[in-house]
Parts: sequence; C-alpha cells; structure tokens
Amino acid sequence: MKSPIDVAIRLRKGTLSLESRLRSGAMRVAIVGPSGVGKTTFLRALAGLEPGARGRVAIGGELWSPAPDSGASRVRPPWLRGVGWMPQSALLFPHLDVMANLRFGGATREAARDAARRVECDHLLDRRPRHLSGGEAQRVALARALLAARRLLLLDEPLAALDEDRRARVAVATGEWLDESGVPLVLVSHDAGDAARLGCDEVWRMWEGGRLERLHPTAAEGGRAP
Amino acid sequence: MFLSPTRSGDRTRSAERDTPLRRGARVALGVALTCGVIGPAGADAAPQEASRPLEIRGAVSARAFLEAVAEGWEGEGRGRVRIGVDATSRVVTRLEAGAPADLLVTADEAWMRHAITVGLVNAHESRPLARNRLVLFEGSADAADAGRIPATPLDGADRIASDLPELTAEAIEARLASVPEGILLALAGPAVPVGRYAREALTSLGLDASIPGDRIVAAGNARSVVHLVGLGEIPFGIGYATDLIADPSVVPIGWIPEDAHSPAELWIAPLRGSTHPDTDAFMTRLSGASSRALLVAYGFEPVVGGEGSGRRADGGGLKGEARLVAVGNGPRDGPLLGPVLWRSVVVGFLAVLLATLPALALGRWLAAARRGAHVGIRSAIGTFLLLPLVLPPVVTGFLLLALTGTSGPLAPLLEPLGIRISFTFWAAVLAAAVVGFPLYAVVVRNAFEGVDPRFEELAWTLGAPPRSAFRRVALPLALPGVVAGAVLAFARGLGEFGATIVVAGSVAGETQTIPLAVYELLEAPGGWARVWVFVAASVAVAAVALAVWEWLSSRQRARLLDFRR
Repeated sequence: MKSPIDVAIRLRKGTLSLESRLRSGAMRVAIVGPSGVGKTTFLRALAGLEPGARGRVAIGGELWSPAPDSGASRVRPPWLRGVGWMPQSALLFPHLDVMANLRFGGATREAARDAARRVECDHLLDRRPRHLSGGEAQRVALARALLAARRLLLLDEPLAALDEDRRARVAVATGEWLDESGVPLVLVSHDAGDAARLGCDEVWRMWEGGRLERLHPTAAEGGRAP
Repeated sequence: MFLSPTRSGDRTRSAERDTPLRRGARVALGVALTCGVIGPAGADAAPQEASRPLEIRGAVSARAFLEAVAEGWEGEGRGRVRIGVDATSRVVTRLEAGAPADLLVTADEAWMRHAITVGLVNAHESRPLARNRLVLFEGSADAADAGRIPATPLDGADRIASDLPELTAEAIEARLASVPEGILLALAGPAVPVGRYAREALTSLGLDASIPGDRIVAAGNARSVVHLVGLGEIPFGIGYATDLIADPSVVPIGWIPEDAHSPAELWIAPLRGSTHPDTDAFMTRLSGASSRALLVAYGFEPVVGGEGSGRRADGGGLKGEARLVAVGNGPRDGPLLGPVLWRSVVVGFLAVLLATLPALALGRWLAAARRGAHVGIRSAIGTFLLLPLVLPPVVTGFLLLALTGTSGPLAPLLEPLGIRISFTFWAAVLAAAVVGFPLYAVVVRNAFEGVDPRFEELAWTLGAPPRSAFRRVALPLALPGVVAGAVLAFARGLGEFGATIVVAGSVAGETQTIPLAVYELLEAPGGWARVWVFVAASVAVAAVALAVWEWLSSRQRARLLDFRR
C-alpha cells in the first residue's frame, strides 16, 4: 500500500531554511517541536502555499509536487489539492457570517450544520466573526477545515484557545470525523498532549533546519488507543 | 521667455520680446498665459527708495511697448524699471488687495475708473495713452512660413493694417460657420478688457445667438487668446491687433467694427501709494513724443494730445460715456452656483468612474509588490506611476494638453472618430481623473495592505482560484477602503484647478467647475460677494466628503476583525 504521507521538500524563506522528509504509513501524524523551527511553514508547503518549496509531495498516492529530478507533471495549485487547512489564528472571513464561512468551499447547508454541531458551534451559525470569542472562532475554523479536507487535513495548534473539557470533546469529535472520512491528518503543535488527544499514530519532532525525527510512542506520552 | 507659469506677472523687462518660438515653447507660453498667476509684486522692494526699481503693473497688451520705453529709460541710466503684466482685471484686483507698485496701465477706461473709485489712483492724474483695435483672427495654416515673420514691429503693424477688411456681422457669421460645431472662439474672460470689448461687439452685432457661450473658451488674458488660437486648439479668436504683430502663428481675418464696442484704450496713472521719486517723470516719458513713436511702432494709435488733453477717467468731458459698461458686468451672465455645482459633482463622479479600474489595479499591485519579491524595482515603478500626486497640477495639465491637444500624438487617433478632448467637458473630467487617480491608488494600496494575505490563501485552499478569491475575499475586505479612496478622489476632482485650466480652459456652461468659477469671480469687481456662495458650497462639499471618508476608514478597520478582541 502506498504511504498516505510521503514528503521530501527543501525550502528557503527569509532566514528560515528547511530540508524536511516525512514518509509515514500512519493516517495521523503529529509534528512537535519548539517555536520557530518551521512547523507552520512545513504545513503551508503541504497546502501548496509556499511557492519556494521544491520537492516531492505525495498524499494518498497522488503526486501533488514532483521531485526536482523526476521531470513529472507540474505542481498542483492549492485550490486543486482538497486540503483542509486550519491556520494558527482562526482567520475566519470577517465579512461573512459563520454559515457563509463554513460553506465557502461549496459545502451544503446540511453538511455545514453537521460539522458545526460536531465541534460545538452550531449555535453560532448566524454570527459575524467579530462577535465570536477566540475559542468560538477556533472551533468554527476547525469545522471549516473539516468540510474542506477531502484529501488531507492540516491542523496548526487547533486546540490552543479551548478550555480543558472542550479540548477533549472537540479532539474526540475530530477523530471520529477522520475515521469516517478516511482522510489523513498532519497536526502541528508544540503541545505533545494534543497529539495524544487527537489520537496520532506517530509523533515526529522537527529540529532546527527542518529535519524530522520520529519519536517512540512512549516519548510522546502514548500512541493511539487501540 | 515665460519660463515659469507662476511668475508671468513678475518678470523683469530684460526678458526677450515676442519672437517666433518653437512650438513646444509656445505651448508652455500658452500655459503660462492661460494660468497667468502673478506672484507678490515688488516683494523685494528695498527700504532705500531710490535704488529700488520703478514698479509698473499693467495690461499684458502693453507689454512690448512698456518694455521698449523702459529700455530707453534704463539706457539713459535713470534707474531700473520692473514691469509686471497680466489681464488688467487681475492687475487691478491685486493692487486693490494691497500689492505695492508705482504705476498702473489699464487696457480700458472702465478699470481705471474702478481704480479711482477704490482709491488706488487720483482721477486728475489718469489719462488715456493710446487706442487699440480688435481683430478676428484664425490659426496660421503654416506657422513655419518664414515670409510672414515681420522683421520689426513696424513691419508687423503694416501686416495688420494693410488691406485688412472691416468685418460686418454677416461676414463674421459666414466665416465662423465654417466650424459648425464644438469649440469655436477664444475670447479673454468677461472681466478682462479685451474680453469685454469682444463680448460687447458680439452683442451689438447681434451674434450672441449664433455663438453660444458653450462654444467660447474664456482665456486668461489678451495674449493667451492669441496663443490658444496659434496652437491650433481653437479655430478663431478675437483679440488686439497689437498682439498679432510679430506672431506668425495667427492670421488676421478682419477688423471688428470699432463702433460696436467701447473704445479700446490704454490708460495710465501713477498709483497714490507710490513712493518712488521717478514715478511722475516716467509718466511724463510715457506721454512724450518718443513714446508716441514707439506706440505707433507697436501698432497702437496714440491719443492725440494725450498729455494735458483734459480727459480724465472720472468721466469728466468724456464723449461716448453712455457706451461705457461697468467693469465685469458684461452682456453675458457670470457663473451661477446651481449649474456650476452640479457640473462639478458630475465631473468629480465621472472622474472617479474613469479612475476606478486603474486605481484598483495599481493599488492592488503596489500592495502585493510591497510584500513580494523584487520589492525595490516594483515599488520604484509604482512610485513613478504615482507621480501626478506630487507633480504641480499645471504641469500635469500641460502634459495632458500636449497629449490630447489638436496637435498631440493622440490627435490622429481621435480626430477620425470625431472625438475632441481638449477644451471640452471631457477634458475637465480627464484632468480631474488624472489628478485624483494617484490619491485613489494610494488609499486602495493601503486598504489592500491592511488585508492579511492569508485570507486569500485560505480561500485558495477552500477551492477558490486566485481571481475568485480576490473577488470573494480580498475585494470585499478592502471595499470600505476602496470607497474611501473614491471619495477622496472625488473631493480632489471637485477642487481640481491647475490641470483643468490648462487642458479644459474656462468654458462657461461646459468646463467651468467651482474653482474656475471662483477664479473668474475673483477678478470681477463685486465678484467677491458672489464668491462667498461658491466658497460656502465648496467647504460644505469638502466637509461632507471628508466626513464620509473618515467614516469609511473606521468601517475598514472594524471590518478586518476576525474575532472579538
């Protein structure tokens, strides 16, 4: 079986220089590490948002970006990748209400309502983003990413603004949604606990320069529950 | 020549006399004269009275003659003379406003009487000097024809005088009928003596109906009438015969009947405020025999026995007094607030429409350039495109005129289509659009810079390609800022003066917007009272525009909040 996630990229952006390889058979991968090493930039490269990124990106057997020496097809633009990208700040479109934010990518009203219900924000559907708290905005952004993730879900510190109880419930709901859809997840967090909550099969640590090293399950406070 | 448009009234007499100029220089001259702004006269007057130059302020039609007299005066070592010329109306209103000078030369009696009324000169010291005549003229078909260029002013006078026909109303009408539509005739403004004479003549010849006001360009002064026609921008002009001398760019058609208008007379008077010891001596010189010869050489007809003739500008012993019309109260009405305000608003609105797409494109591009690659090069290009923001509007107007004028590079494209831009309503729109555009683009740039680029990236990941992401996310987020830019450009367009006066002129009922109307009223006595109405309207519109802009700007800031902070 082909690896769900198979990435080998190089990237320079300002003072940041990344050379990262991530080849994993797991469906849920977490990347942890200190701030500033390039975790967020790596995630953006998977979404196709880093034009300077060179190298192979293959997700679920689809080649999104060919290795430089392969002579293969061109880089697939972000709007054709089918990724659900949830950036660190929620980035809800300020001029649209919650429902319009959820349906921006073409989701039906029913699907949007269902996703909102799962992450506990279905009571906010007619609100404008500026009337949401930080935690509420984060849950709406998560629902929007879930709706858009047809081939890959990219979560950047998705639970940071949530309180302890809700953090667990939202993580479980997200895990259920991933199981139903069969979409792989790449999670970025500086908190290894998030990796456990979201049931990540593998935890990788990013070092200075973008090098990724797989940690043993024990080092990441346990793997996915059987 | 007239190097600076802002100093045309304050130049020294050592400047060259009118010789045939190359076309480019004549365009600049036209611009200078059309704008005709006088700087502070005698600003550098020294405390030592004897050493400071004798300051003469007068009608532009008297320039060549005055310069010749001054040359002789200085040649005799009698001290320096400085001559500032413009339309008589402007000269007098500036003196009235307190500009210092020693001697006044007006191109009509009416303004001299006004100067007496307001206490600038003494009635018994004023006297007529010479008579001028009005001619109808057209642009020369071949300006380069060297055979037309007279060697001396005297030859030029012959050129005007020799077998030039007296025109009847029918002859004028027939001649002007060769241009059936569009801008037809250049006249000086209604408050300027030569403009008033010409309007009186048109009225008394019964030609008002066949030459409606919207086919007349009001030029700044007597010389600018000649230059606008000489440039080929306007088919015909009515001006002084003396101004056609030594100018090969125009050809006289015939005399305007002298009894159709008040006598076109040059008047001189010492100013009451003059402290220069040579003022009276120079007055005597101007009336003397040597000056009389110069007057003839420059095409004037000296008033017989000018000195001591007993004629005074207070009306005593004046023949034909009944024909005198109060200054600035010509047969055609001055600007009215309603139509002028409406036209200003329409001009501003159309200018904004015209500028919107370019401003959006440039503003967006500049915002992207600031965070993209090659920042230096791209922002340098962007800065160049914003040049009209800091360029003097008169220079912008000149460039527009050079581009869209009848001899400009766009003329071969526009003429076959029957499109005429310069000196039409559309020139006013174009000027307002070009001057407002950079302001618009800068505000748009700031609006787009305020929008986090990650919003668009997020839209991409949600399946929207860049164009759709721009339309659905970036544009709506920047919209209040974009509209604020439009409002600012609109307000700027309403106030546009410098570029408009050059490329669109002041055509009553066609291009006259609030600032142009205010400018016209400023040089008409009694205009000050009416100016206040326009000033009030101007302040009100500007205040509303600014308030809307402020409100939209705060909306823009509020709009970008993506959660409660």
